[in-house]
Amino acid sequence: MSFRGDDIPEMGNSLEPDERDLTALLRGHRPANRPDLEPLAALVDDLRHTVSASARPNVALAALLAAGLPPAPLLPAPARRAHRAAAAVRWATSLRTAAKAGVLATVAALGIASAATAGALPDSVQDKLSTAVETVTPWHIPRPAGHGIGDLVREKNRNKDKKNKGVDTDSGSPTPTASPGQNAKPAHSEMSEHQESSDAGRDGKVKSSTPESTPASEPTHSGNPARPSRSEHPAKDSKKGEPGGKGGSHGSTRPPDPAPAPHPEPGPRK
Amino acid sequence: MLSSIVSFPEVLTAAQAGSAWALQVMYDALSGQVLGFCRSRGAVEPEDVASEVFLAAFTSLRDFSGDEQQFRAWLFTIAHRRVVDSFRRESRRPVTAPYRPEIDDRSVASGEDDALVALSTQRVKDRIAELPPDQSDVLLLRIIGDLTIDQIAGILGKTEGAVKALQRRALAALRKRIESEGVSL
Repeated sequence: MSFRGDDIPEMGNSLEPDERDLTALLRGHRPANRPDLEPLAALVDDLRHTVSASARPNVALAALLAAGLPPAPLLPAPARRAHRAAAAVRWATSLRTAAKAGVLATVAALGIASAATAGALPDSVQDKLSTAVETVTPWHIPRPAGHGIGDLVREKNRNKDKKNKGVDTDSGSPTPTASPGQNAKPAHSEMSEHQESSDAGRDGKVKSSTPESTPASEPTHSGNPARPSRSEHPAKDSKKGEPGGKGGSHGSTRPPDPAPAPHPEPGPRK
Repeated sequence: MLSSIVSFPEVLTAAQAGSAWALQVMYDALSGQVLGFCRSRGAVEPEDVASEVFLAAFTSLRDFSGDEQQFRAWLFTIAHRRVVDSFRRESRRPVTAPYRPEIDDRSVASGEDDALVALSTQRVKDRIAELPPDQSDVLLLRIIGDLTIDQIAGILGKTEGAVKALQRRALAALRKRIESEGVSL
């Protein structure tokens, strides 16, 4: 039986073999009760017997069979790094927006934590971060040389005084710089000295004891209601005790000079 | 089954690690089938083609994963492509008379048995060569490669129904030719 367009030739007078007969024939079994399929079964057997012994390998294959496969080639290091970087980029680009933000925040937090551990952050940020981390976690992050809220205030005032940088507000002369010997002091002694001068600066007593800060040399000091008092600028005092700070050239036996008087010109106050 | 002593996963793992013995086990188990396929399919230099098949398979063996039946299908996929490539190469060469081992009067090392095998093989090959290429592919992969219909469909890029139809047509054509000649192989 054939269909239109089907090029299957007729099987002569014998019955058409069904799927089961064909499958058995192809697997080397001779279908029972089908002697008409015997020649075809013989042909299939002959075809199967063309598979004899193993083939003779050519030279290249014989060498491979004798020596085995060479070790798997390793990618060179730059290629591996490039491959990893490309894989990371592919992974990152495949994330959703929220996941990207999370990854970004994690990377930023890790970077800040690493910088804080290395002590590479600015003092104020380092101090805040140390406080926060030590409060929340059992870990310790090194603090800057002077830490505490007073340092934060000093840092704030230091930024404010950048406008007056390089000018001794009390005398009008350029601000003296610290000597190298004073800069070499350990941080702890700097710290204590710094704290003393800072505390003294707050109550204003040190200022009045130094010759440079006598009222005579500061004609505009008193009587100017807009002029901020010395006690409002503790950062200037502390700055002199810091490495590289001002006021170190006034003698080694003298305590650090009090902060120079604020600039006479009135400024906005908060 | 590749080996009665070692399981296929062990052989494959060792071969992927580069062991020569594992490659030899694979070659001994399957090279006869691959060679029979190449020879029956009409490759001009079937042993060279079979060697190319195994070289290609062993070279990329580390990329393979699967069981023994999948390995067999993979190997015959390579074999089918190599045979087709050999036909393309031959088509670019000058036309020559095909090699017929039964009329080759040069002495062969394998002796009379090989001559008989070659004679029988040539007869079968002639029968198969009368079929259209896709029908002979199906029959050879089915009988020599011992592959399933879906594996053959994957190798040839056809549907299972198309492969079944090709198989029926091939067997019917062979049967008709045998009956018309009245000569049994």
